[in-house]
Amino acid sequence: MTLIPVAAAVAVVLGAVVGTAARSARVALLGLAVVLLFSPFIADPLPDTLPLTIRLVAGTLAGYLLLVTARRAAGPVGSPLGAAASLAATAAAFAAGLQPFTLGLARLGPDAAMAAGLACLVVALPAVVAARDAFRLGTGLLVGLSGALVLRAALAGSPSPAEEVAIAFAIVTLGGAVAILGAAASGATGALGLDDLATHPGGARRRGSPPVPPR
Amino acid sequence: MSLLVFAAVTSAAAAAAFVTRNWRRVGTLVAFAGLVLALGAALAVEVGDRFEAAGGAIEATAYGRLFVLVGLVTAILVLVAARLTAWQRNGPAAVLGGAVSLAFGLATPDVAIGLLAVGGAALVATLVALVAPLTPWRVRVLAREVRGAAVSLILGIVAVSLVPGSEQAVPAGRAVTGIALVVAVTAVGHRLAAVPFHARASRLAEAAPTLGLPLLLAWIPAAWAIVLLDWAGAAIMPTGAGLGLERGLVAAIAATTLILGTVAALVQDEIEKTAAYTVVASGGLVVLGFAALDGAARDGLRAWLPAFVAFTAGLAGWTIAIRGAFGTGRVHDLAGWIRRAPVLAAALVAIGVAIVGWPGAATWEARAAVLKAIVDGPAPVLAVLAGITPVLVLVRLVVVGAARPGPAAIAATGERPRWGAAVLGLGPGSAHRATSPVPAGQAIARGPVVPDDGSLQDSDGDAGPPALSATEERPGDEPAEDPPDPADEAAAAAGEPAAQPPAGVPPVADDPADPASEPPGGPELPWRGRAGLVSGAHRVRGHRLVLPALRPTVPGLPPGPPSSDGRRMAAGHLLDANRTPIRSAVVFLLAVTTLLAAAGAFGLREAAAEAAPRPVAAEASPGP
Repeated sequence: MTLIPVAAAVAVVLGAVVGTAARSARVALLGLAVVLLFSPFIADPLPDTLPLTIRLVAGTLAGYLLLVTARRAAGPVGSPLGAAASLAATAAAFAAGLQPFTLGLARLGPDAAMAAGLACLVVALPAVVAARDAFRLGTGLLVGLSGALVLRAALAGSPSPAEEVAIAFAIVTLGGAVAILGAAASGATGALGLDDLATHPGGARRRGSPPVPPR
Repeated sequence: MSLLVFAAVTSAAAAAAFVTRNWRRVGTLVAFAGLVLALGAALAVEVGDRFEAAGGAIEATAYGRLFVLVGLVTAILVLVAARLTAWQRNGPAAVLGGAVSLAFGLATPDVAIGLLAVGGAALVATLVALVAPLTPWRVRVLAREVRGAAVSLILGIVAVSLVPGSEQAVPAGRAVTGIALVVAVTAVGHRLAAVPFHARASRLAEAAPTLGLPLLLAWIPAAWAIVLLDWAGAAIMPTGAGLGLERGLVAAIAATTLILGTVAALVQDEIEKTAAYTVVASGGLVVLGFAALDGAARDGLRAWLPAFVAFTAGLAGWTIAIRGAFGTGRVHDLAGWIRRAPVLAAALVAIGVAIVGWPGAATWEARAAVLKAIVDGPAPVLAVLAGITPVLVLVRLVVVGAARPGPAAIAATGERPRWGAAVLGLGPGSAHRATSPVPAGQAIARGPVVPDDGSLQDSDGDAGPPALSATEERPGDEPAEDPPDPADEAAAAAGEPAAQPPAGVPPVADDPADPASEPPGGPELPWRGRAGLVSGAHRVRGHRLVLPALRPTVPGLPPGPPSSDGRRMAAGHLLDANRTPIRSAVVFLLAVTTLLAAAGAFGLREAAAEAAPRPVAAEASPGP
C-alpha cells in the first residue's frame, strides 16, 4: 500500500463528507473541489502526467461551474442525514472497503480506492435522493460519480489515458449540466430550490384540460 | 479519421443550431443544413477506420454507422413534420449534440468509455431539449432527468467495474455477477423508462418537444442498451447459467414493463403520452434480452434496436402530424380522424406492422430469439403474443379514427392537396365566403377572429372575443409562422369587405365528401392561410364571423397592400395551402423507413451480428 493513494483516499473521503454535509454552500464547494482534484491520485500505478493534468483541469472547471451555482444558493442546508450520521456512515463504509475480501471481490487496484469509492457512494446517496436544491443535487451527483470511478480504479485497475479523457469529459459535462440546471431553476423561480417548483403545469388539472404550460 | 470528421461536422452543426435556435427562419435553415451535413458525414464514415490516441482507440463499425444513420434520417423526417406545424427550437441541436457522443460511444471497444460517452450524450441532449423555455415544471423535469442520467451513469460504471469481463480480470463470484447484472439492468431500465421508472416517459411527453422524444426515449437509451449488452455478453454470459434468481427478477421486470406499459398507453388520453408509453412497452423487450443472456438473442436485439429508434420516431412524427391536422391531441376528440387523414392512417398501420414484424423480419426474429432463450415453447406464437401488446394501443387509435367524425375531424381541412387552387391564384390573398359548421368552443383558428360588424362580442353580449380556443401547441413549440400583419387585422376590424374570388373560377368545397362542410348554395373555398387562419366567414354561436384575409401578392391577381407578410406569403402560399398533405406524406415516408428498419434492410442484421463481440463461452445458457 503506497502512501499517495492512501493519503488521497483520506482526503477524498473527508472532502466528500464536507461536500455533502456542510451547511454553507461555499464550504461544501470546497469539499467537492477536494474530491474532484484528489480522486485521480487514488490509483496504483498513478496516471501519466498528461491524463492526470486533464483530470485536474476538468475537476477545476467543474468546480468553477458549481461555484456559479453556489453563489445563488440560499441559506444553510446541510445533509439530509445530518453531519454526524454522514460521518459515521462514511467511516463505516471506508472501514469495510479496507478489508481485503469485501464482497469477495478480486481487486486490480489499491484497497484505499475500494474504501474511498464505497465511502463516497454511501455519502452521496442521501444527497442525491433528498436533494433540496440544484447545488446540493450537483454536489451529490459529482461525489457519487467520483466514488464510482474510484471504485472502478480499485476493481478494474488504473484507468487508461483514453478513459481518463472520457472521465474528464463526463465530469465537465455533469458540472455544466448542474450549472445550467441551477441557472434554469433560478430563472424560473428566483431560487435554486427544487421543492418550490410546480408539481405540474398549472397545478391541479381538471380531467381533459390541456397540459400545456405557459410559454 | 472519417469518424473525427463526422464528430467535427456534427459538433459544429449542433453549436450553430443551438445559437440560431431563437430565429425561426435562420434556425430552420441552419438546423436542416446541419442535419443534412451530419448525415453526409455519417455516410462518408469508412467502416474499419481506426483512430488511436491516448492509449485508446475508436473504430468505425458498420453497425454503429447504421445506428447513427437511422437516427439521423428519422430525425430529419420528424423535423420536417414538426417544422410544418411549429418551430421546436431545441430539437435539432439536441439531436446533433447527442449524435456526436453516441457515435463515439458505439465506436469504442472499452465499455467504460462507451458508458461515459453515452452518459454524456444523455446529459447534453436532455439539457438542450429541456432548458428553454423556462417554466417551473420544465425545470423540475430537467432536474429529474439530470439526476436520472447521472445516476444511471454511476450505476453503469459500478456494474461494469464489479465484473470487468476483461482478460486480466479475475472471474467474479456468482453473487457479485448477479449484483452486477441487476445494477446494469437498473441503469438501462431507467433510461428506457421501464417499470418502475415509467413516470419518466410521462414527464418527458409533457415537457419535452415532440421532436426530442425519439432522442430521449429511444435513441440514447438504445445506445445504453447496446453498450451494456456487449458488456453482458462478455462478462455475464459465461457464468449466466447460475443466475436463475437474478435473471428471473429481470424477466419479471421486463414482463411487467410489457404489460403495464401497454395498459398505461391504453388509458392515456394525450397522443404524446400514448406514444411514449407504447415506446416504454416496446422497451420491455430490451430488458428481457438481459434476462436471456444468449448470443443469438443479443445479436437479434442489436438488429432490433435501430428499428426501435425508427418506429419511435415514426410515432413521434405521427403525433405531430395529428396535432397539426386536427388542432388537438386528445384521443377522445379525434373521432373519425381517419376520414380526414387516410395517409396518416396508413402510416400508423405501417408503424404497427413494423413493431410486430413478420416472419423473417429483424423485429420478428429478435423477439423470437429473446423469447426462445427465456422460455421453452413455440417461439413464433410467443413472438406474436409479445408483439401484440404495444400494437393494441395503435388498434385503439384506429378504432377511434374509424368512428363517426367528431367536431375536430369535421373542422379539419383534410389531406387533399390544393395545388390546383393555389396555382390558379385562389391563394390566401383571396378571401372567400365559406360557412363551416363549427360548433361553439371548437378550435378552428389561431389568431384574431372578428364578426362582420367589427365588434368583438359573443352571443351573451359580453365584450371580448367569442369562444374560440386557440389551436393547441406543445410546450416549447412556437407557431410555425409569424402572426398576421397588423395592417390586415386593422382593415378587417374596420369592416372592409373581403375580396371575392375571381370570375370564372369554380369554388371548391373543403371536403365535398362531407356534406356537412358544404354550405347552402354550393361549395365554397375556405383557405387555411398563414398562422393557421381559415379565411372567410364562419357562423359561431349565432354570430357570423369573418376571418381576415392576408392579401399576398399572387400571380394573376392584383397585388395586395405592401405588407411584409404579404410579400413573404407570395413565395410560400403553395406550402401554406398544402401543409397538412405534405406533413402526412412526410410521416408516411417515416413509416416506410420504419418498415425498412424493421425488415433489417441495408445489411442491418449482418452488421449487428458481425460487430457483436463474441462471448467468452459460446454456449447458450438455459433460461431462468
